[in-house]
Amino acid sequence: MNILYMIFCYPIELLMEFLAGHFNSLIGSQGFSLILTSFSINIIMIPVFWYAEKLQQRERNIQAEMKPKIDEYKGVFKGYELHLYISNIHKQYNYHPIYAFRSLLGLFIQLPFFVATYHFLSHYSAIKGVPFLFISDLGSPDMLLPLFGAGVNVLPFVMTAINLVSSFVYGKMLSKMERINIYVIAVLFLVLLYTSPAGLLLYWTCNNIFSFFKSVVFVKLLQNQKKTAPAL
Amino acid sequence: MYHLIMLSLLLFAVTPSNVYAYLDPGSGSMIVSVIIAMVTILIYVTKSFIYGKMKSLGKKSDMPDIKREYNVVVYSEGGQYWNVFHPILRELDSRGIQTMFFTSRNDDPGLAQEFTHVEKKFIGEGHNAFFVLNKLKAKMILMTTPGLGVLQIKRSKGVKHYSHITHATGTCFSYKAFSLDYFDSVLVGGTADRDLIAELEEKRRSQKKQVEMIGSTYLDELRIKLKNSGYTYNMFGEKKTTVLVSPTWGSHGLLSKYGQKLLKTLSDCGKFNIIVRPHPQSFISEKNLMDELMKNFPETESLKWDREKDGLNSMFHSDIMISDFSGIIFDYLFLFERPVLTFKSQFEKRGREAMDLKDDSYDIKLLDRIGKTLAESDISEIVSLINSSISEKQALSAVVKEAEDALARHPGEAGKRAADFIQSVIKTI
Repeated sequence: MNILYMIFCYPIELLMEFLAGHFNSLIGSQGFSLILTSFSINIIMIPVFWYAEKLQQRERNIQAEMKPKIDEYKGVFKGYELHLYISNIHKQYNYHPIYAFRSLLGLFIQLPFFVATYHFLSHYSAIKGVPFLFISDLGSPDMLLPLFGAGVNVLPFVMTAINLVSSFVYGKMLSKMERINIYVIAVLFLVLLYTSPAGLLLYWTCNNIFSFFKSVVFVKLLQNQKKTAPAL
Repeated sequence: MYHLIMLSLLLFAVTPSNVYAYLDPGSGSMIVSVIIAMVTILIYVTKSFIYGKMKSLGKKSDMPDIKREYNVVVYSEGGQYWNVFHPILRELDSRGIQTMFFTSRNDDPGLAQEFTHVEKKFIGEGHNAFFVLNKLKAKMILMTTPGLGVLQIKRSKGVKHYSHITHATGTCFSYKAFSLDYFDSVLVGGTADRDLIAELEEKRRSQKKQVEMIGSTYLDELRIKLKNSGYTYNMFGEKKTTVLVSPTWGSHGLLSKYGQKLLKTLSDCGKFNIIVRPHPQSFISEKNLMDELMKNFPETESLKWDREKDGLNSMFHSDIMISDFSGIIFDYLFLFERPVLTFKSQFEKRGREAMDLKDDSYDIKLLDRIGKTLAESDISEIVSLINSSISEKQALSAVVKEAEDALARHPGEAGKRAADFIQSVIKTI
């Protein structure tokens, strides 16, 4: 397990540490250096995101093309006969359900970045006790809203709001079921990250702002590609 | 690919559980897609495994020599197709072409037929037959069974050429989807099926098949039978206008939809002799319906149920047919040139070749010209509709001539033309 981490994640973590350290020495702010690191990593990731998105889109397109026929057969055939007719639809489209794993390739490429980010920011001692703008300590939960004698963390809500807007934009390309799923995931993030350090949330909020713009551009590009693709 | 998947799953395993929460919506959706895909694949693989096991359950009894390399194989699902194959086998035999006739019914009349160059063998039904056919080695196989490579019969690597022959005078419009896509050739009645197949090939961008317009072998057989039959009008004591109700089977068939109402209206008026000839499959697949109708409308002086193998005698007796979209309509048209009233609106296109065609096929359009096409609301007017259609029947001659070219050309020559085609194919193998 550690070998896998050392091969796939550790080099990325080193890069993040290098970027965050250098940005901090240049501008003298841990907060802004985290923001710049987030944007830099995202820019490096653009080709990877694009490739992963295209793989997933290809899978979605072929599913959408096969769907009317599969629905038709589900309306008239049952059991083995239905299985045979659906298999034939797959054959007609040169498809096999195992191809759905193609979208896993995109995730496989992205996963080391996620793991490295999480690991790096969980152990980044440079932000502990460091204030940034209205945040008193980047190394602890923000507790920006004092309520009922305790603090309510605001950054997780900001991140979730951005996530929801991004999901809305991205969701235009998805099926109803997939849309519901990503909204549920966005809300789940809120629960899971509520007590995380402010630095981590700051980093990931910026990441999601970038992701929002990325989604807008990708949606436009993929929709244009779909419009210009010849109809089968 | 397998290693990649395993590696990815390992990465999932080493990742702290809440790292997924750091994913943006795009990546989150990717994970969801992967989970859905994994579940789908699991279900698919399980089904394929179970159904794959079912395939190998075939018994070894009645097994022909599957190691032998056959020349021409003709496969019949049973006696109901004997009229289709008989003229071809007769012709192949007379030309000395070595042929193996496989049938899935041990009461197939073909098994009792004497040939010199045609061997005959019962190979069992269902999985037994599929097992033999899927292992077969032959230059060519001819069959009426559609759905090669889609349903249970797969293309065997040992067979060089698969040929389908249509078994009804209507078109393949009502065949189930992809019925003909994986055949190398199709023997059809005329231009209607040729055009239909070309349209489907174009739409599906599938491999072009050889389409040979040979006419209708079984219609030729019926012509011979009719000529030698010596039928007389003896089914009823009193000669009256005789109505033959002869629909297809299934939930969209005439008897399922309007059987009760139609038979009541016809029998209550007392003006007709009525012959009800359900599709033989109705007595198997919709036995309850048949039992109910036969109980409500038992045989009388003016109503008969016909369960004979061929419907020639009933067709001979009748002045008009009431049907839906059964192939017998065109047998009746070509053999007797008498009008047909059809209920076609309930035709279920889903899951059939019809669904992928731009328009109704030639034979469906023809129904409007060989009688009237009716809706349920017309049943109350059925008496006047029958009388008016019979009075206009002389106009049918021209329609029949044109329809023959589209559906059943070369009367009397189909067996010879099929044998010509088979001979030309095996020469090139």
